[in-house]
Amino acid sequence: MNCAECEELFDAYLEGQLGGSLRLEFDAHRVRCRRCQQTLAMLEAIGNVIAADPQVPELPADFTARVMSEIERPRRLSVARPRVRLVALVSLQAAAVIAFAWLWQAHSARSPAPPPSTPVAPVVATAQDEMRARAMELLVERFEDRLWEMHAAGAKITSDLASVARYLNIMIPEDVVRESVKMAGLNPLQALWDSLLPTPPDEVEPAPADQEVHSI
Amino acid sequence: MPRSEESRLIARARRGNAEAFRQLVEAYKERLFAFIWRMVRDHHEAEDIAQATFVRAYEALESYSDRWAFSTWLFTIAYRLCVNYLRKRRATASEVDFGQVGDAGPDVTEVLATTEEARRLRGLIWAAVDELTPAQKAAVLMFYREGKSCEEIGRILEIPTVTVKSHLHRARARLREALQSELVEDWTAIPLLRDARTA
Repeated sequence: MNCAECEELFDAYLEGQLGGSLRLEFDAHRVRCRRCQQTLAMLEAIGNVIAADPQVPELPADFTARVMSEIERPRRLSVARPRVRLVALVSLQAAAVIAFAWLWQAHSARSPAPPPSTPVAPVVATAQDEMRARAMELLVERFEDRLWEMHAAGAKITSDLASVARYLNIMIPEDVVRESVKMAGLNPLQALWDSLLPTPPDEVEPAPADQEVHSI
Repeated sequence: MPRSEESRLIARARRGNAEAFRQLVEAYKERLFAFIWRMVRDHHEAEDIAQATFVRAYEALESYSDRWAFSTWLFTIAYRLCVNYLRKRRATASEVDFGQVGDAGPDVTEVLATTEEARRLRGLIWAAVDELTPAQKAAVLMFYREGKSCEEIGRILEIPTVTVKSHLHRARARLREALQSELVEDWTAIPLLRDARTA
């Protein structure tokens, strides 16, 4: 290997990508060539200085606080963009469907009163109920927060969403209800939503009297 | 910061948790600012660009993909802002006192060096770095200071990996050319330069 061939491999060497027999030839040349040794040492010294030089001015102590105060305004406005708004609406509806299904399930499970003579582990049942209630509460809180964020950003709320909000006892302004836009035609979750809607009481087939009802 | 912790913070920040984003700012502000400052060499501008980078990152958090490191994404935003700023500055060059711009400054090399010769060489190296094009300079800073791979640098600069390698090659050639004339008898015998990475 001569100097020109060796120099062609400088980049690969400095980037740690020189291996195998080529590396052996490269090293063999470097050992006996003073000029290549010097050039490589210079390039390595340059890299080391760039890597380690600590002389960067310090950021002011309140930099993070300034960033955090700055991000508040644009964040609220960004929700109002139509595409984001549509995605947010669909996501929110999906969350609403899940919340509704959960609530409906919980409601159905609680409806039949357990026979007083049945010794069903009361402590476990209470703990489960508490967990379920807490989870439901968190879900509703989250749903409520998003609803208000969307309203604050000027987004329309679908009538389906308004119905869910009413069902979950979430207070929403009357003007929002009036202005709610029916978006079922655009909403791919509508079929799922319909299938989860509670059946009217008069259509429910009465369960046989002797059939045991299991809670979920 | 471990990747899992970072992912959790990003997920929480996406849900609007300001505290999570604050932790991300704390984790990356120094590295980001150092890069920006090296690119624009103006303290106040670098501060503004760093702030704008975080604000834009927060606004566009939904578009971040964890296929790449969060730092890579941040540096991409920062680099774009730096290039925009440098273009504007070039456009108004006639109004700018270039004696103040791109000056390596007398304090650049003061801390590490203990010999006058090492200090002088450091000054020369940084002055040569400042003469590189923005893309070459960014590639050099990312490669040496951030330890990014050529692929990651390509992602940040939005150019192919092979172009990154070309930028690094040209940057080394220019730095070598700038320093070749220096009367250094033996580059291998300058311990402070050689050991600077561990200092």
